[in-house]
Amino acid sequence: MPDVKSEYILNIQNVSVVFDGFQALTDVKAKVRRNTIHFFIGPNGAGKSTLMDIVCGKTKPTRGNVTFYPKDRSPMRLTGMKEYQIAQSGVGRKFQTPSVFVNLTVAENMMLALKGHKSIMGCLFYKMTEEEEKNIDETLRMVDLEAFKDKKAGSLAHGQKQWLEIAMQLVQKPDLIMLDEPAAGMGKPETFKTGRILKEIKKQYSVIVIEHDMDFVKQCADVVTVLHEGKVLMEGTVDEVLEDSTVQAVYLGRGGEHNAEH
Amino acid sequence: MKPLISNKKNLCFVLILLALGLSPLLLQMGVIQSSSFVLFLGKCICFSIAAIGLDLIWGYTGILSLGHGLYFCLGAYCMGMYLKLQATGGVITDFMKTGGLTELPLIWKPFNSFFLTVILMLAVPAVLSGILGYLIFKNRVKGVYFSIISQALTWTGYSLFIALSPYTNGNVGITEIQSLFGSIRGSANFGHFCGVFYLALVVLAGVYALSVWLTNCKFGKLLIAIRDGENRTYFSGYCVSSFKTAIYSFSAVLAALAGALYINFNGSITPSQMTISYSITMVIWVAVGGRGTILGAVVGAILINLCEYNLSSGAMVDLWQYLIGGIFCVMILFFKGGIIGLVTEQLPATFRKLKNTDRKPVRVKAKKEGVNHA
Repeated sequence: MPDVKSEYILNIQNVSVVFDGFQALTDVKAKVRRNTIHFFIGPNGAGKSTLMDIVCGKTKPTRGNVTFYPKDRSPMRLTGMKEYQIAQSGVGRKFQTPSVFVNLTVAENMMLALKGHKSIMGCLFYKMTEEEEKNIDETLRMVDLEAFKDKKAGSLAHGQKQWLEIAMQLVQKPDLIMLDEPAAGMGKPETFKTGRILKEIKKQYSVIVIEHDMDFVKQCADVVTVLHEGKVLMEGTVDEVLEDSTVQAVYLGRGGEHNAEH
Repeated sequence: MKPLISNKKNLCFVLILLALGLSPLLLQMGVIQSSSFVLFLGKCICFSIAAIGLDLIWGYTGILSLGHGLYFCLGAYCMGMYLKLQATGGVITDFMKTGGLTELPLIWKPFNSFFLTVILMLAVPAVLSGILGYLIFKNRVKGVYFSIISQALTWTGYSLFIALSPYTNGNVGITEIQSLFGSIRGSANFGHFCGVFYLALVVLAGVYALSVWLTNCKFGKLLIAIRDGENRTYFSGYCVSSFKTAIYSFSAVLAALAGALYINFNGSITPSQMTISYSITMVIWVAVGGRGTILGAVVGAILINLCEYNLSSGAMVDLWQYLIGGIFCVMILFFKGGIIGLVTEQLPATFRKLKNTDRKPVRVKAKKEGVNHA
């Protein structure tokens, strides 16, 4: 399918997962367009994070395939690849709880995230180029962490850690970035700023986001896929999804807005 | 600021090195009376090397190995057999005859050559730990499960070395051997002793420099990253298991190197150094000195052993084990950074606090600001 390659970055084909008899995902199909922000929403336990785990190689699907179409390279089947191979091929992932290296400085965190030099030998004799240093500085400026460059990541505030982790995904220049609840634990102004950052990112990359905060979804979603009990309920623009009666019944009416308060 | 601190640490290491280096001369001049004390300092040098290796995997990478005695002994037995064969002229030893062997077993034959001994003494632990590490880390065994496996490993080694008595002399071990330079006992052999002592010192300096370089380059940062968040490291594109295997193997080699030097001072090696409790003692050295700093490992190994040397004879002999257990608990509970952490972080932080309480107006102002923000 040549048109798929040009238009889409990721194709999730009929993915099912069973955990010890529990059907976490059933026949999930989704395509992610290039340079869009694609949201996955749904109540707790809908399988959003599991889906992300499958894309980045943390969980193996029982059935189905995930195909990745990187820019200027041939498509690759992500299912069956190791997580570090997937990361090297250009899929970045930010976890739900901020996971940065707390005993390293912000700059060192960024240095480790940079593309390339991931082998043992590469690490032993690594020297940062000027270009890489500029890349780090620019990315940190984007998330307002430039002043904290030499601070230990552990001393940052919660929101700053989230931004640092996003910046660590950006600095490795992936084709696809996956963010699991990037605004979790952030106040309104911080969340809004995260949204602005995302819109900035999408000019260069494709982004998948899991989020509960509906204001945040409204602010920056291009496409929204609603998951419910491991199945795709519907897919569409924010407005389409919000108006849909089934979505309102299973998710929004049942505390979508309530979730946003947390 | 940061390079300054690390320079200070290096300076501190150089001072330790100088103090150690002067001790044989002081003995010669009569300032130090006891020659066994200087001999003991020689052993401390070896312990420091083993401690550095342990610090690299525990302090930096967060993998707690309770079985490094195995690698320490492997190195020591290799060197020990070479020295023994030097003494017998390369023919079968007495204990092998007692064990029923008629000629030197094939596995000990390479140890007639010094060159091969040095290679094997480093290669055997490296390959063994490499294979074990590969299997363990590839299957993502970590935390306490790894510690238990490492204990089992050293226990297996201990049992094997006792069971294979004709080859290893069982419980007794390899005894009555001289150092690489000949006998080191007595004032007549002072030159030999200095040879061994300064060889060990040079090796320690080299190991220290290599480890400091290793921990300061990207590789070292990655080790800390693995300790802080293994998952994040995997998802940043690093094959964490191969990094863990590499550093585990490197630390095993350092332990073997330490063992090989140690036997030169000690004159014998027994499987008791392969027991779990001995391996845990090594962990205590690192914990007390300060994990996560190479200097801490050196300081801890020397200090704990000096205490043991002074206290484990005489009135304190029964109390020593309790005392070291107590020190370990206190360190883990209150001084996570060990002695080095206490000096470089905890004490300065306390001073800063004390200073701030002196300047009361500043504190009030800060409080007011806080109220405004709220």
